[in-house]
Order: sequence, then structure tokens, then C-alpha cells
Amino acid sequence: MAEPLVSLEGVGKSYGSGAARQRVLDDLSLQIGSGEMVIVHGPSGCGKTTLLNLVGGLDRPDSGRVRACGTELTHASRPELTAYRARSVGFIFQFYNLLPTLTALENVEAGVRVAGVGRDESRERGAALLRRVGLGELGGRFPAQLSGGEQQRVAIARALAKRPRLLLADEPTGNLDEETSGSVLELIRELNRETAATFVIVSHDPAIAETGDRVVELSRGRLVEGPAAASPASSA
Amino acid sequence: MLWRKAYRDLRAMGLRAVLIVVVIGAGPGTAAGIALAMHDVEATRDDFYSRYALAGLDLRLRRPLPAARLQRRAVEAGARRAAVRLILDGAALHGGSRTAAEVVGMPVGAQLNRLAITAGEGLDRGAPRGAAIDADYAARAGIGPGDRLRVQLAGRSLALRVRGLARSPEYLLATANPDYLVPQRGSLAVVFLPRGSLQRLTGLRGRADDLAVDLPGGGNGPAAKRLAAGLPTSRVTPRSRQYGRRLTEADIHSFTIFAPVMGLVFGIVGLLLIALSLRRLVSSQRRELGALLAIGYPPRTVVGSVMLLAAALALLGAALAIGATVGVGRLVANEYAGAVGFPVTRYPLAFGPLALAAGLAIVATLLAALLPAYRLARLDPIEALRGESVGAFALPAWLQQLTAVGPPALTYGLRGLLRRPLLSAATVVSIAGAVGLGAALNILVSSTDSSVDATFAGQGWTHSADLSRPLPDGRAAALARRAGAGRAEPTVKGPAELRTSGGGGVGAQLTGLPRRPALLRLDLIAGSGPAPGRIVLSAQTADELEAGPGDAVELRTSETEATVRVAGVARTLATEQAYLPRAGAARLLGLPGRATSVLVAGDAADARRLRADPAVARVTSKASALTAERELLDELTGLISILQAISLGVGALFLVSTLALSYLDRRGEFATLAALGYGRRQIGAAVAGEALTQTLLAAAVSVPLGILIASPLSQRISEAWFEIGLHAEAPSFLLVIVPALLLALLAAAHATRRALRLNIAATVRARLIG
Repeated sequence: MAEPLVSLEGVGKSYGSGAARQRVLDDLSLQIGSGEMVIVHGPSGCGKTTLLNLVGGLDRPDSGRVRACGTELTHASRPELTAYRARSVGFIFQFYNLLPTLTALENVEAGVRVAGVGRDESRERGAALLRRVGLGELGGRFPAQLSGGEQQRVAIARALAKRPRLLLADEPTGNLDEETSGSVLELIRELNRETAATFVIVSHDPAIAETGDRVVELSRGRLVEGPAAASPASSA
Repeated sequence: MLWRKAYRDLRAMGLRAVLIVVVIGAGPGTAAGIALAMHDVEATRDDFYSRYALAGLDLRLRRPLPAARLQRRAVEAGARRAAVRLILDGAALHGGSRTAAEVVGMPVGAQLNRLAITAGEGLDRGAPRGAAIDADYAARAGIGPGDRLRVQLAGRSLALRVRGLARSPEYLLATANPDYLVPQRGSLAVVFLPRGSLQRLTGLRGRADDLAVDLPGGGNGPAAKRLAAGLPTSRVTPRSRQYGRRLTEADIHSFTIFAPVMGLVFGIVGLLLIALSLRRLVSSQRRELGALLAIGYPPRTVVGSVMLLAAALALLGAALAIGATVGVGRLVANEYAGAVGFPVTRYPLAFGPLALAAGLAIVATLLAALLPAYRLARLDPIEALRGESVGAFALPAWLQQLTAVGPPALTYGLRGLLRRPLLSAATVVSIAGAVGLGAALNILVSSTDSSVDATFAGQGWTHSADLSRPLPDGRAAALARRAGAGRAEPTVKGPAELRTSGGGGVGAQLTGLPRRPALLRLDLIAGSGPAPGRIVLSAQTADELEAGPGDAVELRTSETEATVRVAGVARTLATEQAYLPRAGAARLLGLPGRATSVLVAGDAADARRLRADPAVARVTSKASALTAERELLDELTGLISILQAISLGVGALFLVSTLALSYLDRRGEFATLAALGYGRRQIGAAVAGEALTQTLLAAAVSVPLGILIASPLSQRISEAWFEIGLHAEAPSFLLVIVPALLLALLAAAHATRRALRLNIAATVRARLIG
């Protein structure tokens, strides 16, 4: 049996202290296989983003165990988490989070070079990915000179250019109109098929659920498996 | 509501509010502190003069006359108070060292130039050999009350007992070499004795050679002229020309220039910092302020909340400025006192400097708040409700290429500077201001040092021997040869008054030089050397007279008057100097064929033999004068170091604050970098790259700025002390730029640490990046 790419075992996470302490994830266990496209769905405050943060190495659990891409994240040090993010994870944010003083191509390069890829190769990969997301001509533009949809495409290119094993997207269409949203989702789907990367997408938009291999439904910090539940890892 | 909001905003600003208040207070406080220090020095001096009755006029005679005759002259001239004294030059011997001495025989219970006894007892007619000695000399020679002291006067050796240590208003800053306006503390042994005792001990019973008086109309009026008429005066010193007063006046005049210069630089720096901080505050509260506008609060009310916060900062800054004024004032006054030996004892809280400090702090803060307030008043509520706005960023292709150096993090750091060009320029200028001010102070110190070195290096003499009485030139030269000196140059010196037509009079020391002086060389900065009827003036004297080569000058001595033309202007260490060929100067001074001093080129043994000669009153060695000058400069450097430390401190505060603000503006971007996997090294490189570029640009700007600031400062010091040529050398800048760069790195390290401690997950989700 192949080892799952992402594995969470009995994970608990709380925020705040005293009476204001809020349990966001409660004894959550989940496994995601290589190449899967998993949609994490649920209402606001159910713990979707917290789950993504734990898998992305942006945060650590209070209890349980998180392992991803062969790295034990539960007790990893800050530099270990940084190295994990640099090598293995690509992020796509709701508000794109492009660096405004870097051009589209430089933004994509910034995502590659941190993984230790050389300047020339980074540029080649960046240019190729920008072409792939339909922005081959706009590499020299700064984020402020791009539309919201174009910025999100640059962010997708940036996330994929380092060839991560795991791509995490937090509400990637949350800031886009319906039409642009559709084209971005289509692009994500295509890229998931083209690359060997595992995609974990967090969204409260029911439309997105249709694009995934599997939907993981979260409620009050607990897992409720969704309709497209058949997957190699979960059935394993 | 406004009060509560302003109070909460202030609390929320935390350390930043403290930094702003420090910058608001430090600038005006330093500037006003310098003004207050000079006020303290002046107040202490004037208080001392008043309490111990500094005479309005002092006449020194070439030979002793009957004391009763001088007393009568004083009464006839209408003197309100008078002190008839016998003052003789000699040497004091103690513990194997010999020091030039001035022995003052004064009436016990004198009405004028009274003694302030600082240790032991004062003069007593019943103790004819009981002397009071100048406290500075006592400190230098290690003499205390009860000790014995031997004094040599015109071939006589007097054994005295020290009854007490004293300060006299007349000798408040006593120096063996008043030709140089830089005092050498303790270099002159001023020994006070009861007049009758000195008359008896020296065989000059009933005679006196000095008359100190207080005349109606001061020391320059008609009464003063009546008093001096017909008396064989060697020196006429009105209170305004008195050495200690002149020195402190000159210093006060020169140091007060630091106040506006530092005030201006710090004012600009403070103004920018406050403007930046308030802009940041308004920016971070856009949603909140937009909501207030949206629910119907009029813009003036919303603007009022920001202005109220600014007012609170201004008041806190003003309170700190007042405290800083007092602190810096005392620090500078005491440092100055330590340097020149002037005991500052009075610290009156002058309203002017305190009001200036508080006023500057308040005005600067409110001015700085105007721009953010104006922007706030024009804020569109709908736009404001969308939160912080980050302006569109684009660069021309060439600048894009130029900044795309190194890894992306560095490119990001460098382009951070171009994001808000005006803000970056203001930051660079502010840091440059603080660095430039520090460099200017260094330039000032090194220029003064270089000028002293250059002026002394050009001189061929090693010692200058002032004679007890004028001697024929031949005898003066022979005296030097007897002492073993290889070369000797008799010179004649005496007081003179110079005047241009229609201008005021300027006192100067007239020196007669041989036709081809071998030992005393003039460092001419304009015109040519002295010739018959053609005079050379020191730079300060020429400035004061507003005269240059070719101009006619009226020259008056106690003997005669003449009109001469200015041949040239020379850089001299001593202020108020005039040089003529020896024959002409001797004739004008009433000393034809005679010398009053000899310049010699010899060694220490020659100097010892010269000192032992009864015809020699005092010997000044060039080396010791240079050392003393350097010691004094070192002590004054301490004063300048205080100002420098303050300027660097303010620069550092600014650097740290702007980087902190810049970090706050971009924490979303730093969080993104961290999420992408950028670690301490890369984020540190981005922040440090930006900080170092900013500081290096500031360093480049600080070079011309430093020279620009140093120029008026050195001009003022030149007017007070001696001509200072501006020497802007690399070390003057490096000494400030290197610490500034290190500070930039430290500040960058701090910002990096904060960036790495960010809650990345929460920050990347907030809409902080446009």
C-alpha cells in the first residue's frame, strides 16, 4: 500500500485562551493520496483554513499528528517548516498575494528560486507557466496592471512553477466574478491532470465541489465525508 | 468620543508613540538646550562679575607711579569705585617647576576686582607674606592652603605662604598666553598679596602701576579718556575687552549657531517622522474612519480625532523637549565649563529657551499632522470602507532592469524604495540630515586640529620669551644667545587700536617683525607681507574692520597715531593681531630700537636657561602651547561629541521608525514571502538591502550636506577663536556613516525578526496587498 502524501491523525487545534478558547479542529483524521484533487468544503468557521494551514506548514497542531510529503510537521521547527514550504508546497491565496513591486514573471520566478532552482531555469519555467496560464505576453506587467483573474492566474503559475508535490488553494475564486471564477477553476483542473501534484482546495462555494476527485466536508472541526468520496487513499 | 478615540489610538501606538515623542522632544530640546547652556554660562559669568565687582576699566602702566596720585586721578575722573594696585610679572617656583606669574598687590577689602576665596583664607594685612593664589594654577601645581610658594620678581626671590585659593573676576580665565584666545588653564600663576606687603617686599613703597576703576559712561567714555590722558599706559582694558569676558562672549557667539543648525536638522527629521507615523495611523484606520464618515460624522470631526492625537503627541513631546532643554543645557554648560575652566554655578530656567523648545515641538507636530489630516478630510467614505489602499506600482523598463539584480527577495527590497518615491526621498534626506550633521561636527573638529597643526608647523620658533621690560634689540638677541639658542628674533609687541574711516575701533596686538622674519612666519591668505606703512591683519581683525588689502586703516597706540594701508590678511592662531615692520611698530609703540620679547629656536635646556634669566618674565614653548591647544580642543570635542551622539541617536530613531513603519505597511507581503518558503536569510536580505540602500543613498547625500552644515559652524568658530580652513576628509564622514550603516543593519535585523514572527496564516488571508 502506497503511503498517502498527506496524513492527519487525531488532529486537534484551538485558538484563544480561557473562556474565549475555541476548538477549531477536533480529533480530525484524514489521508490524501498522491495526485488527488481534494476539495475541503464547509461553512464559515468550520476549520477549513486551519486544516489547510496545518498541511501547508503555516501552523502546528495542538494534538495529533500531521505528516505531508514525507515530512513530519507536528513538531517541526520553524526553519524545517520554511524548508518544507519552499520545497514541497505551492500556495494560492484568495487575494492572490502577488508582490506588487515584482512583475508577473518575477513573481513566478520568486516562487521557483526559493526552491533552490537557478536563475535561468527559473526564468524558463516561469515564462513557460505564464504561457500555460494564458499570460505569455503579460510577463513584464506589474500586478497593478493586471485584472483580478489575471493576477490569480499569475498566482497559480507561481504556485506550480517550483513543481510542488502539494498545491494548497484557499478560496482561490473567492475574489473573482462568476465567469472568471469558472475559467480559473477549469485551469486548476487541467493543471491537476497535467502535473503529478496533489491539489487541496478550500472553499465554501458548492460549485467548486464538482471539480474535485473528492470532497471533504467539515463541520465544527470534524470530518464529514462528501459525495465524491471514492479515492485511492480514503478507500485504502 | 474624540477624546476616547485619541487616547486609545495613543495607547495602541505603544512603542511607536514613545519613539515619536522622543523625536519630537529631542530636536527642539537639543537646540534650545544649547541656547540655555550659553545663557547659563553668561548668567554665571555676569553674576560672578557683579558679585566680585569686575572693574569697568583697567589701566596698566609701563612704570610704577605714586599710588596716591593714581587714586587722585580716579577721583578727578569721577570714578565711582577704584582699586589702585601694583601688578608685577615674574615666575612662581613650586616643586621644581617654574610657571609664569603675575603678582597682584591689591588693597585688602578692595572695592573692585575682589577675590572669591574657594579654599582657605583671604588676604590679611597682618600676614604680609600670606598670599591667595589662582585656583586653576593651584590645581595644576598641586598647591593647597598652608603650602609654601617662592616667587621671583625682578631679581628678588620672595618666600610666600599660601593662605587660600581664589578666583578673581579679572582672572576668571587666567592664561600665560593671552595672545591666543584659547586659554591654557593654570598656565599663569596669579598670586594675590596685600598691596602694602608687595610694595615693601619689592622696594616699591607707595607706588602702583595699575588702576582699576568704575567710571560713569563705562570704560570707553570721555571720563576714561580723561583718566588715561598723560599716564604712561601700557595697556588699557575696558570691561568689554577683558580677556575672560571676550573669550566667553566669543564662545557664546560661536556656540549659539549650533542651536539653529541642529534645531533645523532635527526639526525636519522630526516633522517627517511624525507625518509618516500619522499617515500610517490614518492609513491603518481607513475602514474605521470611513465607517465614521459613512454613518454621518462630518469630516471635521473625524479630522479632529487625528488632530487631537497629534496634539496629545505634541504636548508629550513639548514636555520632553522642556526636560531635554534643561538636561542638554546642563550637560553642555558643564562640558563647556570643563573645557575652559569656567565654573558654571547658576542654572536659571530662562523662559526663552524653554518656550522655544515647547513651541517648536508643538508647531512641528501640528504642521506634520496637517498633511494626513488634509488627506483624511478628502477621503471618500466608500473608498475608505474598502480598507487600506496600496497605490499602483509600475516602473519604466530601464529602472525595472536596473533593480532586477540578485535574487527576487533583493529585487523586492530595492523596489520597496521606489514604491513611494517621495517618501523614500524624504527618508533619505532625513537620515542624511542626521548623518550630515554628525559629519559636519567631525569636520569641524578635524578642521580645527588641522588648522592648529598647519599654523604651528609653519613657525620656525620653538619658544617665545616675553621680557620683564623692553630691552634694546641687541641686548634681547644677546640674552637669547647666552641661553644657548641657535637663532633668535627680537620682536616688539604692544596694544593698538585700529579703525577704518567711519567704522568702529578694534583692539589688536601690534607686533613688529624683521624685514625677513625667519622664525615667525605669517600664513598669508590674501595680499602680501608687512612693509613700511603697510600692515598685515589677522583674518578675524580684517573681518571685524571689514578691511582688505589696499584699504586705509587708522592705527592708534598710547603714544601716537598713524594711517597705514592693509598689505595683507594672515591666518593666525591668535585673534586680533596686526603686523608691521619692526622699526615702524617700535616707533608707534614708543619703543624705538627696543624689543619686548624674543622668539628663539632652541631646545628645552635653552628654554630653562631663558626662564632663569631675570630679564625674562615668561617663556612660552611652542610644543606646550600646541599641547595645551590640543587638550582644550579635546575637551571641546567632548562637547561636540554630545551633540554628535544626539544627532546619531535621532538618526537611529528615525531609521528604526521608518523601517518599522515600512514593515507595518508590508507585513502582508512579508507573510507571503514566508508562506512561499522564504526564510530568515532571504527576508533579511530583502529588508537589509532596502535599509542599506537607503542609508548608502543618505550617506552620499550627507557628504555635500555635511560640508554645507560645517561651513557656517566653522565660520562662527573662526570668528571666535582663529581662522579655520575647512578640511572635509573621508574619516569625518566614515566615522558617522559606518555607525549609521551598522544601525541600519540592526534596524533591518529587528524588522526581519518581526517579519519572521508574523502569524503567517492570519496575515496572508487579510487583504493587505493590493
